[in-house]
Amino acid sequence: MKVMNIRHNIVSKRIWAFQAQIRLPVMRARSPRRLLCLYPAWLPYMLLIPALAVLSLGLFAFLVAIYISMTDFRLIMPSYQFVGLRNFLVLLHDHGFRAALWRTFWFTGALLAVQLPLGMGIALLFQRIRVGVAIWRTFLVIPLMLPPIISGLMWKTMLAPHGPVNYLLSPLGFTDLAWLGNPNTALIAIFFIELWISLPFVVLILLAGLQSLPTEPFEAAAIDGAGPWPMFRYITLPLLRPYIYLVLIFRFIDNLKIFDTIMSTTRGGPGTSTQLIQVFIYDEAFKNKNFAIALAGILIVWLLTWMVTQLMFRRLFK
Amino acid sequence: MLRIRQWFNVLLVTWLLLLACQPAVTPQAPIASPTPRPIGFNWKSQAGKAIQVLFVKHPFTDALLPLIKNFTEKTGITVSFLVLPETEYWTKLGIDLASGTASYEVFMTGPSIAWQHARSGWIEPLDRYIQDPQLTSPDWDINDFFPAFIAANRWNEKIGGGLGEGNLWAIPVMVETTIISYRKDLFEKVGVQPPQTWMEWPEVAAKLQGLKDEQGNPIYPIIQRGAKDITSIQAGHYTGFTTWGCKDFDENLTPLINQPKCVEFARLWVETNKKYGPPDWTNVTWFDMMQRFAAGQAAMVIDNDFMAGVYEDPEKSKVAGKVGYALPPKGPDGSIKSNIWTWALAMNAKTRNKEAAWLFIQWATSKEVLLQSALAGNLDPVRRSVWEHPDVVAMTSKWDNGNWRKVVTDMLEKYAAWYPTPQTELVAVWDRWIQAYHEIYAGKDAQQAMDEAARDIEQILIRAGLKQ
Amino acid sequence: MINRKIFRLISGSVLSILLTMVLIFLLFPVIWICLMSFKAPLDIISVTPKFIFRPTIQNYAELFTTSTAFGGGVQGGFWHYFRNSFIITAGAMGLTLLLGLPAAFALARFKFLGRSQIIFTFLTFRFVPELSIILPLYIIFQKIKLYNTYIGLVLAYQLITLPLFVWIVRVFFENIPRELEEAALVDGASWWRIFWQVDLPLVQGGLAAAFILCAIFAWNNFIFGLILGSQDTQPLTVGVLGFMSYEQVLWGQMAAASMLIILPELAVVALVQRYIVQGLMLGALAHQ
Repeated sequence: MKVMNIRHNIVSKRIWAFQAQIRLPVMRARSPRRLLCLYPAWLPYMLLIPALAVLSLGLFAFLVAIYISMTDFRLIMPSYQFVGLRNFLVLLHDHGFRAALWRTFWFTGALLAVQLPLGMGIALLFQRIRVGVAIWRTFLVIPLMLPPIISGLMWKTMLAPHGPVNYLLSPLGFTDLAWLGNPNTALIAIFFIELWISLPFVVLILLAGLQSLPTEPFEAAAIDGAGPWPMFRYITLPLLRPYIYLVLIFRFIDNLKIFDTIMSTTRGGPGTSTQLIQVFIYDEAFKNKNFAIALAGILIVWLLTWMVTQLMFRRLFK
Repeated sequence: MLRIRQWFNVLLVTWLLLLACQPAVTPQAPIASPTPRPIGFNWKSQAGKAIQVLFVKHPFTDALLPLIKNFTEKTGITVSFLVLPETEYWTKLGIDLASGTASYEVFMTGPSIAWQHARSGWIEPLDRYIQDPQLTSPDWDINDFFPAFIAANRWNEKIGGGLGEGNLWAIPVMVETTIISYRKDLFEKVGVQPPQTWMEWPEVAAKLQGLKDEQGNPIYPIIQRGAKDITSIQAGHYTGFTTWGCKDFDENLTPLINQPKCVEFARLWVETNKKYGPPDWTNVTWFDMMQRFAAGQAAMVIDNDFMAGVYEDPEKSKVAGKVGYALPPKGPDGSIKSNIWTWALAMNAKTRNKEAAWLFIQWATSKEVLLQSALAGNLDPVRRSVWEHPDVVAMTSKWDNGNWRKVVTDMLEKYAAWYPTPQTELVAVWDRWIQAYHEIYAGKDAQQAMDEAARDIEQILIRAGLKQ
Repeated sequence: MINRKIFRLISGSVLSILLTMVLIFLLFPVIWICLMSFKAPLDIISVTPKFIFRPTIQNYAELFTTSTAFGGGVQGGFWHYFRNSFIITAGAMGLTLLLGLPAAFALARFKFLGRSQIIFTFLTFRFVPELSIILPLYIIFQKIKLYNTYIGLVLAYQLITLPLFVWIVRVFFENIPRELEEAALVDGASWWRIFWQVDLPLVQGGLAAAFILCAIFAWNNFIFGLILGSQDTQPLTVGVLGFMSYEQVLWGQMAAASMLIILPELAVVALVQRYIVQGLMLGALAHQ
């Protein structure tokens, strides 16, 4: 168990003491001890096989897609001639692809950096609510309920130069700003739309996690006079780690797949300022009709996602 | 736990009920009576067959769908169809055709897409059906169509040329041409006339600056398409481009868009939009443009003629009755040319019900059906008989005191044609083109942007195997 | 004492303000759409956003009467697409519950060879955008005659819902305190009884959260319904796009349809909330 590097003052010493007291139950709740009863060895596999069997359809389609990515398949000239890794090399040399990839990773990182703290904050806020939690939670989920295409279209009308958003921001001076038409602000607008769509997911999971936490550590800490911030930092956060990782991994993966919002607002424009990697791949597949090259692009992104997720995964299951 | 089970049961039962209560989806086919095969054309020659049609959500489709039961009565062929909005339509059609499964006997296409389909062998040349007296009714009359629009759908499969020759790949059902739609009241107030030439266009726009509507909102002098979509290159822009004297490719498929003359036009186009158009030009799609003009936010738009149907409808537009129409601006050499788009019906080459499909296409493009669709809002007609039919004349003469009709008649008879060069990578090329315009809008030097675009476009053509 | 009180007052009101701001941010667009669904076409295209206008239910009425409003034409109409969406989503969630619960339980509480690899495999299904496998899936579906069938779509939707569901529920299963299980074991319970009577009630909260999320993703999915389905089976999300007509976008009707899309989801969330609360109460009790 890693010993935390604490500053030597009275409060932290006390917190450390609580930690020592609650460490054992916390450890037990987190360590993956298995069921101690008797069960046949084949049981886990049997429980898993139906799910995996259904998903194997997708796996098979994915393998076919891998094969197609190594052919010269085009949407207007379906041929299956094997060309090996040529499509991958073409893509990696393509300036547009690299630019889109770079842009996407920056965007994803920035979005994650805002989603998690903001989501955490909102979840903590929600936890304080005593009355009508159910209604607040229902409100919370509403942005998630609209199909992303519709969300994008609606946001597009709202962000028009004389639309409601500029109207509401007019005290600040934004009366005529073309959020989605200006290459400098388009990506920022997409950022906020995506934030709007994805916050419910983050808050929902973190809130469920927060509300499933045991109360003894908090009670013990409160008795010993710890303030809200140390309680949060030394008790809440460590206990919430599995949920935070869950959110982190899923948001990372979903942020890379952002597509519908962009297609219904800017389609990758102005210029290429909002052309994230999925938009680039879609254009390559359905505008340039180079389906095989698009699939190669998807595989490259898949590989990168796989590597990053493996890293995160290892830390979770250390 | 009991509650969960209860809910689960309720949901399960509901689900099963809904699943079981499916109405009959496909209409029943009337029993084909065995008759001896007659000589000459007969509508019922394919009775008992079933075809599937893929439609784009379009006024033509909206007008045609209620009439399909007439077709089934007349021919005994059952029709099941699917309607999708344009972007989704192309995605679905592309996947269906590329996968090799011929799910749809008939689908809608247009000149540029038909080139791709023709080259891949997915659509059937229709001349043989037209010329066969057993398969085509004598009333159908191909000469009733305006020649330019049939020519737009003919191609001899030669990349870089050959439009208007060779096989007929699809039958057009409507056409759109480019004209000027302008606010008569505002023009009168300022004291200008619609621009006669493209050079006058920014000058007229400059005089229209500073106008405001009753609530004090700015009225932009012009509005044009500018979103990152190939339709932004298509209509008003391509009309201007061609009239200016420019061409997109030569016969060897060398891009000509970075020729000094064309760069001049690019500069004119982008800068006029930047100075006199709305600030989010790079995000304005065709329906944004149409909607804003109808909302009274712009003084002049050089785009599709049929949008007058929306502008003149008092329920959909605030400017009904205030709009004037004029021929598009002339080029430096004084000529008027307009690019077009025609939706057309094509036949899947891989289907086994080709005659049945042809009967459907024939019926849907016949004089009676096209007339009914025109009266229901499918403009502009491609048949002369429809355009000159008294009901259509009456309907279209209401707009701008008959001026709209006069302008569009000139367009249909004289000036409108398909100008882009046949090649199968049109979508990719035009996408790169509009991207270059966005870069010029953001401040890049026009010659440099167009040079880079020309280079990338050559790469696209080389990668597609159209060029060495 | 006074300091404490003031601090609590200030922090209480600061919290309320923050919460209100968050809610405005989250709800304003939806409120705007709701307003839009009651506006006449002229009010919608008005330049200055109109917050005060004369409401009309014309948009909702047209949804149910004008047969060509939706892409379906004469056969379609709002109910047709709504039914399709309901059948597909309910079917997909039912199947996901059936397949996902045992899988999540197995991954959380048993130790066996290949466990972490399988966990990771579930995750990898989320990496791929649906667009990448849509062409192979289309060909496969056509070949095995699953194209344009409810069963085919329900199976395809598993690719979206099952991995997320298993992953979320698994985390909740893993965080069950051991003492309760050990107590049951002492009483001589088998793994099946532990699953049904001990673990399942305790993860109700997480189960409900996972159910909400997966159901929403399934309900909102668009690409599978578009490509793998046709006229008979297309869900609401595809039908609503029929408002992007060639001549105009019927914003009012699209807004009205959006409201109607949200309503069932709201109903499901409201329904499932009870189990979240129950689950949390049980969880709190468990820790005593």
